[in-house]
Amino acid sequence: MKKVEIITRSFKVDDVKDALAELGVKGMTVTDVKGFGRQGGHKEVYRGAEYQVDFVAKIKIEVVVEAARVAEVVEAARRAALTGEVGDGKIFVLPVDEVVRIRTGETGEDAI
Amino acid sequence: MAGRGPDSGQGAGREAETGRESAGSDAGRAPRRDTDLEPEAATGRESAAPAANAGAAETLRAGRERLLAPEAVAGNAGQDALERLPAALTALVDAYFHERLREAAEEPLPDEQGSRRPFSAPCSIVAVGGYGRRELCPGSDLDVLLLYERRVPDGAADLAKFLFHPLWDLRFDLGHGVRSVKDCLALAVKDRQVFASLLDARPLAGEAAPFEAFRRKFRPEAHPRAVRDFARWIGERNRDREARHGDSSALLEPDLKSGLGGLRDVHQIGWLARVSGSRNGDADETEGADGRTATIFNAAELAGLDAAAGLLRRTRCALHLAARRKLDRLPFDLQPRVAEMLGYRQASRGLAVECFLSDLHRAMTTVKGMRVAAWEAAMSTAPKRRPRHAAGNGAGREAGKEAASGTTQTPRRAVADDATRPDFARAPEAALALFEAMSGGGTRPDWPTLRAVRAALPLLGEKLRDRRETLEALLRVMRGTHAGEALGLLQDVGLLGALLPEFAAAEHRVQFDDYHVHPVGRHTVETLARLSEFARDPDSPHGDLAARDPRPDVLFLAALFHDLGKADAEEGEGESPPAAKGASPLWNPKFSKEAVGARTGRRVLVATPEEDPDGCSCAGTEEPAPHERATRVSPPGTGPDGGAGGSIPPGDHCVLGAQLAGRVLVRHGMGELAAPVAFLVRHHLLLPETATRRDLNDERVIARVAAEVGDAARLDRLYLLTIVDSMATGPRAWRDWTASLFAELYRKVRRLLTDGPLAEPHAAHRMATARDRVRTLAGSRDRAALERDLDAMPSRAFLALEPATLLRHADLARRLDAAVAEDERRRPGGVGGVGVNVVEAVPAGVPGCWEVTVAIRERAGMFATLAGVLSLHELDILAAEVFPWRGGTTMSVFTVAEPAGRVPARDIWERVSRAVHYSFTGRLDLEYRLEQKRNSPLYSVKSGPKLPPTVAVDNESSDFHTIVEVAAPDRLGLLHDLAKGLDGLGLAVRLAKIATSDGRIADVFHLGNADPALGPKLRGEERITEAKKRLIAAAKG
Repeated sequence: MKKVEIITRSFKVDDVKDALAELGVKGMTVTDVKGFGRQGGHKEVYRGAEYQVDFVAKIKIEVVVEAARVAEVVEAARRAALTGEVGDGKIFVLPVDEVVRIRTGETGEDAI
Repeated sequence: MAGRGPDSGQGAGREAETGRESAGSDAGRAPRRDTDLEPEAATGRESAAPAANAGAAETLRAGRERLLAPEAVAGNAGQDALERLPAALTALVDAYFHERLREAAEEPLPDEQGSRRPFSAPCSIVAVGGYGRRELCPGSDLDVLLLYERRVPDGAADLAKFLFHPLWDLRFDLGHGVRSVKDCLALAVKDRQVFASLLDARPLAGEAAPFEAFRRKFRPEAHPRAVRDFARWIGERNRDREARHGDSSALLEPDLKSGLGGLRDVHQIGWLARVSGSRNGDADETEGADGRTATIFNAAELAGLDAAAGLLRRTRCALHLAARRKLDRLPFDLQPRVAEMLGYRQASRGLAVECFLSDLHRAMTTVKGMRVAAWEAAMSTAPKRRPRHAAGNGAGREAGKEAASGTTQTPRRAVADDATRPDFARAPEAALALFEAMSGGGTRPDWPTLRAVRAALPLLGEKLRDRRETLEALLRVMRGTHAGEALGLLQDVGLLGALLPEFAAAEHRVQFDDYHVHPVGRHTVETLARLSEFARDPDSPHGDLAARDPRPDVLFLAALFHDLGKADAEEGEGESPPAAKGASPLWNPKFSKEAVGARTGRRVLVATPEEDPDGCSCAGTEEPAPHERATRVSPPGTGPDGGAGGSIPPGDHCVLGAQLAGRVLVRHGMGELAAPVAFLVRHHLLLPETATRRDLNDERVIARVAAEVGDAARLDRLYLLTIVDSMATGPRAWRDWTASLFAELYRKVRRLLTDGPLAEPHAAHRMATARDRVRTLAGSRDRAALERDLDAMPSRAFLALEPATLLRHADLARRLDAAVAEDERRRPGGVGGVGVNVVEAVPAGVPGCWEVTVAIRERAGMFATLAGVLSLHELDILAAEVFPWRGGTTMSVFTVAEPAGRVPARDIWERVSRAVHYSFTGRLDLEYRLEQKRNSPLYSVKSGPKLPPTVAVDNESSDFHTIVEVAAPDRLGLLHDLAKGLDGLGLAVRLAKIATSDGRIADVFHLGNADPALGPKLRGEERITEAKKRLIAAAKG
């Protein structure tokens, strides 16, 4: 199992959600986040002194999927989130050791 | 899952037998308030009676587990299980609802606050969509409606939770709705999707009254404009389906449900029949076998439809089980597994799956053809008094829209009544005239006329075959403005095969690779359609070539016959009319499990070899196929459509096809065309094979093609045939890169044929001219340095590269010298200069492609490293050429394609340069990084069949190089691995091209000895064997 974290622009959330739903992804967690990437903040260092870094509001979408489906999920999310401009966000893929569904106690892929 | 109503479910079908269960409700039953509707499962053979004391959910879980257990669907018994699976799953779920309601009645329901109150309001539990049709596949959605006669009561949510929560826990994909009858009817008026899903509504359990009330009021056929409005909606949906899912009857990875020809077409036929049921009281109306009303199809056609739909359903069930989830697109890599589950026997490599795909394509063609007919019939059932705008020419207009999107064949239909319908017994030519008319004027024969054609096929074959007029009529069809549609129908209806037995023997061949999109027959039709377009429009990209052909018939006939050789030899030469074998997919029920079951005494999936025109052997047949092809070996070396799967010997089909074409023409009294047509068929792979494998800058290569072709007119035809053949083969055969190679070869050969023969002095002259032009271009540059560079360049560079490119190379060499000197200055002691390189990339003149030149000092493993670095950066290498200069500098020119759908990083070329440098200095472990990338879950390359790699060594075709061709399953960094395999043998890659062989990637290397003293080529049996061994090992990975 893998967790796919998609950091995307706020207005792209629905596109990403629909793209994932079309693939049969059953659930997701969505969080408002702030951050910056390579270009997100303006200047970080100027003549050796720290300078202002701007945080940019983004949305983080987290889904957990079977490892075999990661490629298609990531590709679908990437296509949906793409504008081609700086600040399109990032997608992280992380291993997931275990999942427990609280109500039933199911574990593993059954609990996804 | 909440929020998806049942109406978003999967529509409905013929089996909206809404009255059967509810009719049984009466007051005399046991006084259980909620069981007026008995589940069919309790009495049916798929009975899943709950185990004693087990809850409804547990019974459902255990029952499903039993049904879907691998052993339950394995082997011959498993095929029966797959056949019964949708009904069995439906019965299980039906039983669940029945039992669950009983549990609700016995135990008061907990409400939101946790207190308990009895379930009181009368409610019908109704299945809609696919569940309503009893078509549940293992991963299907479950669409259920809680229906109340009047208002939805407060306690409905509690009941819904009680019923539905266990289904969620059992991982059913549940779509549910809780509605009153009034809401349902209002929604059905507003939303056609809801309307369609309610057509399949089926009461499951609960009170009968609400559903009865719904049924009384929901009368789809009662609306005067219902048929046309509904048909119009279906037309729109089908355009959308085609855009999203394609025409599955001709796709590499068909969508079994939503693609054209998929199960959705079967549903639509049912819906249209249902909606128009009471309105079409004409003579064609026939009562279907299961009591449904069909408006235009007869019983045999409905049986054919059932058989085709049955295969689609079994395939979908097998696919869900193989993929372990809901999946409607049949992916390439699961096709062999699904074929095996469906009982197709693996006779030799790929054959079982080819049989399966052939049957599947035919089933989908059947379904699609009947859906088009049903839709057109519905569109023509206009109300008697029509509003001018709504109905006047509406049918034609709507049909035109569909035709434009390819969802139907033509804008207009020729509707003939019985009196005007031609009598084919008396005038067999009338059958072909129908298609000529369709091709010329866009009128499509209606379904009864097509039925008459099908019925007359043996007769038509007998009367029309081997007559010159027949081929002339076919040529007129090919030249019409709607040639593609007319030819497609001509093939679908079986007439083309009936007229040309050789075509019938080949038309259903499927090649299992990720290269050929269509079966042979469909591919031929596509080829002809494109050729027809070119021939009609001189302004089209290649229209000028077609327009100046004084004998266009030659090319059309060659296109028609070019793949005849793909049939089995014994079939290709057979004279038996295919009509007798039931070759037309439009009525052939061979997909039926029962098709040959009676004869063999066992239930099998398709005909045994002696009956089956494909010669496929499938499960259930006791004897091995008489013409078992397990031992057939496909030689490598084919072009766009030459790459064959296991059953078709590539290359051979050109020779055999030429013989067959000549014979057919002589038989038809067109002997005068036999030689030119046979020539084109014989050589239709010459241009693609040469262009994708050979060095187009080698004059001998060009001269050999020119000698083979003979004259410019023949070359023009061959080139056009190559183009249309490649375009019709699939996206991998025809892309900008291959098109540019074909064009280059064509241009060079044509110049040779028109400007006279070239010889060595000419090459020398070209080289001298190229040097002069470089000097001119150089302007005021350092003359002495330029002369040194020109002297250092290999002779081939002057023949292969443009003067401007040569000048660029000279500049690169200067920059490399400077960079090496700088590195040596900074890192003295002999380590400086290692891996230093200069990379320059320019657009290659082909969209999405770049020409990347890497200037570097030649070192061992250089080519492998460069190829590996490019792969690491996801650049797809299409071709490579290495120019070793005197003095150790090399210019490696790669043509690369950007990764599909991805924009390479802006500093990609700097990164490539850095990675090359780091690879040589040990700062980047290329092997590790490539391995890491291969193992990434994001780069699981889906490749073609895992056939063993093959290596062929050719020392004859080139004067300067040994040509080695390696066909292997594609993977990231394959070229790198192969080149690395050659390291240590003293061989250097001078030219590499990516071609295809057997429908899979083949890397073609032109190799030379790194040590010039050993001569230009790889010589000696031992060295050749060692090279082969290493390449095979590298290809296996």
